[in-house]
Amino acid sequence: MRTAAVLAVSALIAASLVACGPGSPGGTVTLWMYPVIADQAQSRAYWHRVEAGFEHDTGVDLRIELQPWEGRQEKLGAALMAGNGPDVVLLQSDMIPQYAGENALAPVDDVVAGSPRPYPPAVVGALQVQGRSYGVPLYRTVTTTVYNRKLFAEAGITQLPRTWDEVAAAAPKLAAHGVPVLDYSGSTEETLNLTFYPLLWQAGGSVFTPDGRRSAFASPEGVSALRFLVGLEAAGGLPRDAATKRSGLADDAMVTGRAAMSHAMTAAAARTVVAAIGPENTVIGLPLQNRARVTFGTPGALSLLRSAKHPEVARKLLTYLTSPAVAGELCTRSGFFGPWADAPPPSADAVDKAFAQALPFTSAGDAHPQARKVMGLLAPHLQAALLGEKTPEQALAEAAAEADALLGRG
Amino acid sequence: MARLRRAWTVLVFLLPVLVLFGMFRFLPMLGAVGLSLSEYHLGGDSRFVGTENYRSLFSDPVFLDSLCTTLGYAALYVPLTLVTALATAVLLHVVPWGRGLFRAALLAPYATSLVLGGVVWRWVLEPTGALRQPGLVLPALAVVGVWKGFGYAMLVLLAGIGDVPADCLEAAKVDGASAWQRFRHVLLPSLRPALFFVVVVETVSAFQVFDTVYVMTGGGPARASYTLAYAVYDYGFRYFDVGRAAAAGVTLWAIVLLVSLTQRRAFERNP
Repeated sequence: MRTAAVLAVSALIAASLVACGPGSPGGTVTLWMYPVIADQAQSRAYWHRVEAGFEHDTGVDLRIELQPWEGRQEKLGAALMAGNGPDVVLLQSDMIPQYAGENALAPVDDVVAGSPRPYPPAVVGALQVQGRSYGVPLYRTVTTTVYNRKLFAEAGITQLPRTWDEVAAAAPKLAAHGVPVLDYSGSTEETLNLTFYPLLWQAGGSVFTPDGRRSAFASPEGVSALRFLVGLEAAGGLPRDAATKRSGLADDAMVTGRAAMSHAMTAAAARTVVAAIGPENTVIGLPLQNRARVTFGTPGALSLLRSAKHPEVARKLLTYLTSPAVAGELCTRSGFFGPWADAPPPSADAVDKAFAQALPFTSAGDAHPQARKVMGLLAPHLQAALLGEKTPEQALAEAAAEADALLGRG
Repeated sequence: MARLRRAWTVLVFLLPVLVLFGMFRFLPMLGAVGLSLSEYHLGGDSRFVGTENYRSLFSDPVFLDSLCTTLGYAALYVPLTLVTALATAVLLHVVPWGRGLFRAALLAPYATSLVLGGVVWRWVLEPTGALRQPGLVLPALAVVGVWKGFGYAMLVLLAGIGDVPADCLEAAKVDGASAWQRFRHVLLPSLRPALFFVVVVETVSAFQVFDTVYVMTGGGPARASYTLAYAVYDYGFRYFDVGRAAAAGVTLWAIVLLVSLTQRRAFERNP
């Protein structure tokens, strides 16, 4: 009896050890994904299907870890430092130079070149560092201008502003009704890609010089962009807390009808606005026009981490996830645009059609390994200008001095 | 022989603490010093750069400003906490009834999550505009810090007051000393060890302030609340400048050590 019990326990332990072993014979690959599909139930169902499909096709064990957008950079960085990072991760184009500069990514030129549907050169270029691709395009996002027509009408404005001058002219009229013309979130936690940078590009400026060795935002173009914002602030054209405000869908000024327009809104946010204030009051326009008509849009890409335990298996996963069938369904369900040159809008609703009009005007911004650091240095100075602590010239000059010192350190 | 056995016994009893301290405090600290002397990349590569990280930190005006901001916060937070804790401890000591209830109520913020408290305080302070004014943001953060931290200091001081011999206070009263004189010349000198402990602990806590800044201001507006601990976080987790973050962390540790030793010396010189 005792012998039988010992044998049974030994068999159990042996079985457990086998179960805890290296996993499936094809290896295990881990993907960190984010709520690209905003609806949680749909997102889980989609990724469950993807996991089952990949495992069925390849015999490889796929682990998909759905992470929140919040604290994304910090969590990924901490995981990589601890040696617990994923094999494949979703990155935005402006993050890729930083991670590539940290030597954390492996090139994926072969996967990009092997795509059955061609990608636009601008999309591929946005994911390259020194001529090598570090991301396989998965989708494209675009931002554009969204208006609350009712608030403009109540202020007696029937022609919605399409240029900076028209926005500036509308500001005092709306302010007289207690409404800021432009929603603006100036918190240092916000990405400048959705706040100041689109204005900088519309003014004809850029963040870095073409060779990337110095900052370029303290140029006359940059000053005019910041003057535009500061002028709006003085005319009551920005929310009272614009300098420190964080964006949030629940209490967003556009969603709650407390701001008349946004200059760089995503399609997902625009849908929330439509649901909150009604389609009859929501107008989705082209990006604002100044010296240039341009807005922020970025390819979302899958990158292969250099620390991947099974790089060849991870490459198979990249090919599978970015295949037209799998990525196409992701774009349909997420409302993002397909990454391919011939991709139609993700669905045929009015929001998508309107955002598709803005697609030709998108810019992914300056790809630079120090882009995020420079953003962190510039943001407090923009706050200071909006709070009236510094003039736009002073604020940008001081930020440029800090940024140039950083770039000089290499 | 007996002495040797006694030493061994002490060592055996101390061993668990020494092992835990070594593993979770001393070794990570050594690791941080090592990192501060290197350039570390997320990809796992690193190279020795000597004191380059320290040199670049001390020539960086943003880092030096964060040092001043932290000192400013400590200058507000420590005295405020001390005064609030002392006042509430004295009041609790003299209150004739419900002492346990009041003590629990006053200690409640200390047991609350600082992140949760920070979010609620942000909602409270947002309409006042205090978090949007560079001149008001540090006092606002200090008030939130005091709300969170004074309960612990109050408990320590309350225990200290309990140890003051009642006959000393009574004798002073019989001799005609006023309430203020009894507080100033009898109670306060007797509380010196407890006060020293509270000052050291709260100073260390002030230099490490991070949670409230992270939740309430993000270091803003215009870097008015950009503290040293927040800079360490920024360097390490937002910019992946690990060597620099480690150098800033080691600097923070050295400052806290220096301040603690100075305070100790000051208290010893004026017993």
